[in-house]
Amino acid sequence: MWFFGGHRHLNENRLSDYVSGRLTLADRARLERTADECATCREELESLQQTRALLQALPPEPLPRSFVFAEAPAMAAAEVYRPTQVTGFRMPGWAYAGAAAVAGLAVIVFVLSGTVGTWLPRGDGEEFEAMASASATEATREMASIPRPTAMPGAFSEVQPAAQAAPFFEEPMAESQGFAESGPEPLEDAVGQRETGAVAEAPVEVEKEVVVERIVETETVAEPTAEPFVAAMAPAAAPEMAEEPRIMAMAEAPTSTPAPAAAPAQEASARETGVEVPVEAEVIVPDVAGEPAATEPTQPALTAGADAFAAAPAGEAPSSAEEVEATPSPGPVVEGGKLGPPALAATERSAAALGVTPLPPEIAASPLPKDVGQAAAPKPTLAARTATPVATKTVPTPTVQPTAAPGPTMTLEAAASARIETEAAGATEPPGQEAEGPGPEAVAGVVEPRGPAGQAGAQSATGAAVPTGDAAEPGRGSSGLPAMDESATMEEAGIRDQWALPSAGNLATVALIAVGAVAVGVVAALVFVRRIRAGRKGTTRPGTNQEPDASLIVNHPRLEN
Amino acid sequence: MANTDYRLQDLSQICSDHPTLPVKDRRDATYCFNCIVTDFQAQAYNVACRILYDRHLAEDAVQESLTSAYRSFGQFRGDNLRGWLMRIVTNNCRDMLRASRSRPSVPLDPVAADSELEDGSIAAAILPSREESPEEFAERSELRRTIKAGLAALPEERKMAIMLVDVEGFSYEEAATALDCSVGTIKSRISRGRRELRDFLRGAGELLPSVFRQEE
Repeated sequence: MWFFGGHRHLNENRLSDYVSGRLTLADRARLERTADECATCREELESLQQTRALLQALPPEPLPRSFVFAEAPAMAAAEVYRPTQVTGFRMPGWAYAGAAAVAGLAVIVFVLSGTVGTWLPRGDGEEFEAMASASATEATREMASIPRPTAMPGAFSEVQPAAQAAPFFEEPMAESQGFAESGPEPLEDAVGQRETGAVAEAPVEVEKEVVVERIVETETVAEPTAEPFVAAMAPAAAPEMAEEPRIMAMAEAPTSTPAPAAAPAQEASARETGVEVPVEAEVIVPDVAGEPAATEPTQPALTAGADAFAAAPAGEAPSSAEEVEATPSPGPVVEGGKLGPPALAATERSAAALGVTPLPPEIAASPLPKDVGQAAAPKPTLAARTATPVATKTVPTPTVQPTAAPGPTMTLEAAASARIETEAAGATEPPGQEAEGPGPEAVAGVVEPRGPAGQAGAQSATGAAVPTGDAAEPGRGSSGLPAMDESATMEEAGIRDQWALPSAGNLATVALIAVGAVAVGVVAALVFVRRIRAGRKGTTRPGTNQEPDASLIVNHPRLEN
Repeated sequence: MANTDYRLQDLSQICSDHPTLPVKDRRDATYCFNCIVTDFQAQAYNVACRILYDRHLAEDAVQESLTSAYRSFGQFRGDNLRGWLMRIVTNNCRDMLRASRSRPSVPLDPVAADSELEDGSIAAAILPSREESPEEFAERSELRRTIKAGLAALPEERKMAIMLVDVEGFSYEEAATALDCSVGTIKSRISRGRRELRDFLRGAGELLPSVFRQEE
């Protein structure tokens, strides 16, 4: 409505109705009066009338032809008899497409995600045991292939030269890459060796105890390989610990203790059985003080491996060997040419695969439970745990430092166990805190670090808060190796290893598969219901699928003709 | 023409100018479908032409619409036959227009684009009367094009309403039936359509008669 100066203009709808002739006579007269009074309304009315007149003046389109049917259009059966359509529930087309897409995506993701085992709990009990047994068997075989030392206490009079140790060292290290990949083998081999007393301990003299561990160069060691290593250490342990396939700490034996007579007997029995077993090596440390070397009665081959390794680490062998050779060693040493390097190699492989450090004596003294990952594993004392990282430092300059008093020998097994304990439970402690609780080895000077870092670690262990560079590095363990889980205890780590939760990706895959399955199921159910309903009532939709009307075409006389 | 004009009193009745094609509606009333075609084919064709702007498409649309009407004549309730028939035509034209928009085509013969003057029949239809001067003929032709352009500028629903009511002379009820809407909707569409078309014609005032020219 328009209002100009109080005049109410005519509504366009009324004007349009007037133009179309749809107003009553009374309305028509009223509108005409208003239009006569108002020029705007009149002009508006005239414009509309002219517009309509122009539209009506449009010439009609001439017909191109006549559309009259000469005969009845063919009532094609295909056009008339349409299939019966159900007027009830109709499944939309996108439902099928969506369900198919989801199902296809689920299948693709399922296939691409790997195998079914990727989302199963890892570290299952039996599976874990099988892996450990296989690895143990593998390690035992390798160690059994090492020639048995023929020398008795006192026979090891020379330190393995670096030039000889290096080749032995490199080859097993090269083979160690496939250590974890070795297929499962029967556990009877290792068990049989244990039962036959193959793991004999030859008494050796230890002039000075130096526990050395090489920092594993390959830091990408898989975590599960730690367990096989532990199992692999079992055959090399003492015979009385054969049933406990765990690391047997050899540091419990006091230094300068003569070897028990049973050791040669066991060794002889092992020869009788024809099984070549790894024989202990001995940590030979040059006696700086000039004291006669003490004899370590129960040192397994792994100890020799650790010592030889300390003497000739890969890549740093020349310097270490030279320094070791430069050190007077009146006492017996490892029979290096045959025994040391292979054992060292096996030990090194295991250590490299595991990334562990020697176990402190007090840890080694107490038998470990069957499974390290179980909660029953005893925790080392703080001193032991803190001393372990110090002993794991290996540096190119193996400066042998005199010890105040001979202490127990830390074998590589013990160091490994301690390393496990440290990494799992006590690695969160900063280096400074580690120095607060010096272990007996460190205090007694048993563990002698080599090189500046090792010395720093030793100082730290003895109370001097000297931070170790690698230990303070984030993302690493206190020994410079990749940290297993700095915040988890050993029990937690064990639980985690055994029952690792599926990852988020696996959960998403499972969820997607479930959604796809549900979608397919829903669609299938709806289709089934629809078919049932279609079978019950075949309702038709009017206009689209009407029943053919036979009387539609009337029998006209003309058509009949 | 009332619907009763197309009914057959008996089946023996024979149409004189075309073949008798009897059909029955929903109420069992018998019709001669060719009589219906004869009366409404021109309107149907015009409606199709003004919707599709293509004579060939309009011809196909009318042919298809009449065939569909014959086949579905049983749904006819017996009232507003023209509206019911034009509804079929407009629906077919909409479908064809939608299909042509999705699959645009270009005529192979460029002359056919302006077939209005090239085609003999069309040219004969628009030939000026002998009383009309060439200037007037040119002005009328230009006015017709402008009106067509104005109709084409309208929204489809309003254009159809204007075309059916103002061009083809349909009543509001018939247009409502043809367009499947209420009479009020038709009134509103026609009112707005006329106003918009008037404004369009005012914009091209120089080609329009003096009544539409802007006063200076």
